Amino acid sequence: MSAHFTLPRPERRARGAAILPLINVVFLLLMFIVLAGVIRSPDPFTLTPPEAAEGEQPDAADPDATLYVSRSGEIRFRDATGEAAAVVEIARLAAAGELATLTLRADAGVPAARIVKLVEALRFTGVAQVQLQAERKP
Amino acid sequence: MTRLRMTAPGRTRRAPDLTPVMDVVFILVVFFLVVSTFSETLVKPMQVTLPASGAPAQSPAGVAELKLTAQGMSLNRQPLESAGLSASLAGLGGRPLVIVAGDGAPYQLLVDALDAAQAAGLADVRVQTEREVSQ
Repeated sequence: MSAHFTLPRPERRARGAAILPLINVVFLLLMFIVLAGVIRSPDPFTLTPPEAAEGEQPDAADPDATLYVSRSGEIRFRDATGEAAAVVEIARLAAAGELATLTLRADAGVPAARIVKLVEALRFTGVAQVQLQAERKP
Repeated sequence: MTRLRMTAPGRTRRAPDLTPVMDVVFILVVFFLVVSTFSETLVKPMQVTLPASGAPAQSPAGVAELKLTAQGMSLNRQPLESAGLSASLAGLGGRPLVIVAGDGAPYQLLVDALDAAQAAGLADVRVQTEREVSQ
């Protein structure tokens, strides 16, 4: 009869997977996203602004000084909906001296004549400057 | 005097559990991915000519007129390809430009025209809608 040898099993130590490299990568990802991305307040409706190659960097995109125009022609300024209400609200703020520059963020598919007429109407509200918002062409 | 010496309990070095950190960091990554936008916004100042009441619709001499329609654009009534817009505007030599937004022209075309005018270095660019010509 042969002797039965059993080798002792090597002692297995429960070790967690090395997650330190993973944490490094995820932290780098986090830093990249924080630095590269800009946090903006969401638009009141989905709109695709036009693309432009030239333009100035906005100081700060203030959503309270932005007039939104959707593709279907919906107009929103702060809580005011519709062109008449928005123009009245803008005129009130401009008269109070709280609104010097108005940013127009409109969909690229809105008829240009509508935008021009809107800006014409805004001129009567007393806003000193109207600027169009676009996205930089890739 | 004898001095009692106590030995420190055998301390085993164990790495701290990093799983909660990972959870938090992953949630942060997802949050920033969802919230942030990566496109760069630009602003362009816009000057609009107000309709003068009763004034004739024709533009004064020396002012170039770029008309935008759904079909395309025309500079001083000459049809123009959008590719040649910048070159044509640069050829104006700094004359004032009026961009007329006709029926059906999309807003993107207006921004393109403003872009080209800015690239051509035109200082006096105005925008207006088509005026009804009443004879």
